[in-house]
Amino acid sequence: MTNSKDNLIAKRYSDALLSLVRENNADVQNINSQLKSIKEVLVTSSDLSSFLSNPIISAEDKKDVVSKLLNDKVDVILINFIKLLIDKERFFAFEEISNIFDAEVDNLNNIQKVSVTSAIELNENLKNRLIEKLSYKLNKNIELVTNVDSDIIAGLIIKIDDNVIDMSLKHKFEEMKKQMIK
Amino acid sequence: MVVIKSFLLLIWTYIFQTNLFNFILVVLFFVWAAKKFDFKSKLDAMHNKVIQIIEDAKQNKLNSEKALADAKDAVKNLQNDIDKINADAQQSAETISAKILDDANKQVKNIELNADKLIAAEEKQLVAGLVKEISKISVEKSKENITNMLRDNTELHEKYINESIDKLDGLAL
Repeated sequence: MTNSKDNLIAKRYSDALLSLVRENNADVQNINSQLKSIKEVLVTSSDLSSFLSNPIISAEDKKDVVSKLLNDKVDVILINFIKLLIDKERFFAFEEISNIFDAEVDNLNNIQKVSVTSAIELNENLKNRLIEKLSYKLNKNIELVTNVDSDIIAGLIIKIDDNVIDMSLKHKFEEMKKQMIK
Repeated sequence: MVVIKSFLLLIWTYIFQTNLFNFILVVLFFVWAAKKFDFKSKLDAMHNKVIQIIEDAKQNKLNSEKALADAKDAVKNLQNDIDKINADAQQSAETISAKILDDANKQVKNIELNADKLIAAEEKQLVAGLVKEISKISVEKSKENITNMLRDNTELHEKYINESIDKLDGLAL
């Protein structure tokens, strides 16, 4: 998914899935969770991903495999949605559809995902303090995704959507170097 | 009749026996030749030519005399002119020498000035380079020290993390 046309396609299918879930009074959170699980399976299993995206293999064969794999494991709405993507030859957009759907669900629930990188694992006290601060600043429920990277030396790098706030010690040293070179 | 004949014969004999006949023949020949070759006009032409040569010689003489007079006039102030040219040349040489010397002095001063500036700039650049290098080394050293201090020091890590969280207050998210 690189161009805006593909993004537009993914957005339309994501909106359609959301409408379908609402019409059927299904649990949006549950569907989103199942969608993310399937995405993870596809990411880890390149064979399955290649099989479902292969244009030479017939749609019927693909749908048959999907049924066998997912029946009784995920919501029927989701199985039918994946079959629709196969019929419309839009399965290549599945990952992006999942991402957009996840963002839309978060938006519905007033959730903001925040990615935090630190040099050591954050303890619960620090996590809570950070969530509280971000929640107050953004007026949203914060879903924290933590990463550990010792290269940053100390401090935090916070990523909110496309906005990166680098408060790491590594960044400070780099800034100091730049100032001195000027 | 006989007498006449004898007389004529006598005359005839006389003529033949003297050079008179030859003389007459020569005269007749000259008369004939003069008429044939028009000696007179040729002599006149030669005469005229000689006159013309003489006239030309006179004219040449006059021209030469005039040229001589002009030459005399021309060389009359020659020494003065030579003296003036020499004086002017001397003056020019002195002026040019003075200018060359002045320019050379200015150039030397400029070179000295530029050299001073160049040395100053080099010094400045060298100092700046050294400062940069020292600064970079200082930063690297500080980084190394802090990294060492942070190693197994969770409290210090937490201090930096808390500082980062506090900084969020001043940021527009």
